[in-house]
Amino acid sequence: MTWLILLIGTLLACGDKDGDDTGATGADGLQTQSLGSFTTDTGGLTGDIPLEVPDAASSVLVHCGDYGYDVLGTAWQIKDAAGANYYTNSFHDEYAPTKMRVGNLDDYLPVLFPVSPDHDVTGGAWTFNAWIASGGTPKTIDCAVVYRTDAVSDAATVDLNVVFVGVDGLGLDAGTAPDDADFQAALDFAQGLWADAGLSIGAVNYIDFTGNVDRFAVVDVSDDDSSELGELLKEDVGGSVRGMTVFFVQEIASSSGATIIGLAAGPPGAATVTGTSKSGMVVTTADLRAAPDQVGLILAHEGAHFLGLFHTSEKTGEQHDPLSDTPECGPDSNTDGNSYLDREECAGKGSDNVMFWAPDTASTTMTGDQGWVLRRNPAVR
Amino acid sequence: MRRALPALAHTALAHTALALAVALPLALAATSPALAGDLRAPVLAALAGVEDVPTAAELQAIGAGVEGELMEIAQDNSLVPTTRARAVHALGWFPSEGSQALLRSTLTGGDTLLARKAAYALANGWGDASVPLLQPALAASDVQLRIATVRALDGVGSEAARSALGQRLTLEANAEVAATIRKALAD
Repeated sequence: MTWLILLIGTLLACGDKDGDDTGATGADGLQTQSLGSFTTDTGGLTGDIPLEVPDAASSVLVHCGDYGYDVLGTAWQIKDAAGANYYTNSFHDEYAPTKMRVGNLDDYLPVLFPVSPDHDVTGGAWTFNAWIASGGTPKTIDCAVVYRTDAVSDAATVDLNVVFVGVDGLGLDAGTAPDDADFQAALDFAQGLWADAGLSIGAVNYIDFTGNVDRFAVVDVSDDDSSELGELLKEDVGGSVRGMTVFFVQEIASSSGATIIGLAAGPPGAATVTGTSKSGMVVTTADLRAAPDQVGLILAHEGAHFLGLFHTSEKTGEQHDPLSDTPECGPDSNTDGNSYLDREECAGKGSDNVMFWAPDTASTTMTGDQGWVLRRNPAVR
Repeated sequence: MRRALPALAHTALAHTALALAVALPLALAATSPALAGDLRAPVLAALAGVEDVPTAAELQAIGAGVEGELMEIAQDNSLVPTTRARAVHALGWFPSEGSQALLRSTLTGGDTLLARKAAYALANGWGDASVPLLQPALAASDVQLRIATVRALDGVGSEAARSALGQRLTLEANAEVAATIRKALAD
């Protein structure tokens, strides 16, 4: 029995490094650490920020901000423990493509790695250099990191905080949603889509939004002003910190007034980090009564973005996700000569994947690599 | 030597891949539309993105008859509301007597989602001429329709639009609508 106790103690200790001298805290399979404040140079670079990646880490989420909705930030360079370039920005003199992808994000920058099983993470002394493109004006940002150190399961779960924002006109709120057949059908449909990825929905926390409902019931966004989206995602709504927060709104509207069906922070979102403009996702509920499966599809699609997946192929076919087992639909598939690739043109080339840029409820596949990424996100158990 | 860093552009994903409405000249030539249904598939494909919304150019490129197809889609109860909403919005890029009549009817119809889209479409398609059409919607009972109408008029930006907003501000009791008007007038 003594050997068993020692074995269990050793296994537990491997996933928990409470009390190391960098101030990391370990709880529930996650280690969080403040990296400090950094002031960018006139080029917008923070310089190398050290990351002590634990040997047990299955994923790393570095997050930095706030730097304003009118400024974009991204990663400039990430070096691994061997000093090799894990990622370089395409404008970097040492640029070389890798299976790592980082977007250009306003106000707050979460950077998740790995986002491909072909480019995993190892323990050791890494560095991260952020680029905050503020036009020559130095910005001071706070950075922190989340290391996921518990075991990654092939049957993973993610908790959902579902927040209802001004959708009582549908008869939907935190009180009615647990018994609402259409809403539950949407959740079931999302879970069915994630099943191929080895991910299922864990606990669901039903929450009524108590902030400015009139402001956020329709979320207005534009290319140069995403503040309304960001301010909604910053709202402290409670629920599971280790999970995903999903705001169900009447609609998301573009600057010209067009309907956007779903938006996630990132990718990736700031998983397990609350109070940032990248701390959740938003789903339009307009289709719930007519087509709950459609809403479930959007929940699955946007949730996957939050957890680190990109579109298998973008609208023009000129960019694809960094995964090896997802089909690619490129510009050469554009048979009608217009500016975008539709589901018919991409038949057999990923239009049946949940992460196609324009999926429909027949887009039900997820690949092994997609599941690999989803299951090791810090928000997932 | 490190070269100077260029400006960053939004990643073409999520909320950053947004199409801007292109105001079409009112002299847009109207040709005989194809029979409704002939262009159903390509128009629906253009309306199909999750985060991406169709652009005026993408819809125009489908060819003659898109306006008629959009009008059919806008009124097709067998389609999901968001598809119909995108069709209503897109009619603003095909301004004609027919599309205006449908939009005016939709603006005062009972579907608040479609009414909001109609407000934007009228503003996008008819500019200053839309102001008298939109002004009554500033007094709609639905708060979100009032906000959408304010934003639509803000997009118009003309003296008449600003005057309409200013007049409404004196009457508006809802704090968020009033704040939206003030922001529009401050632009």
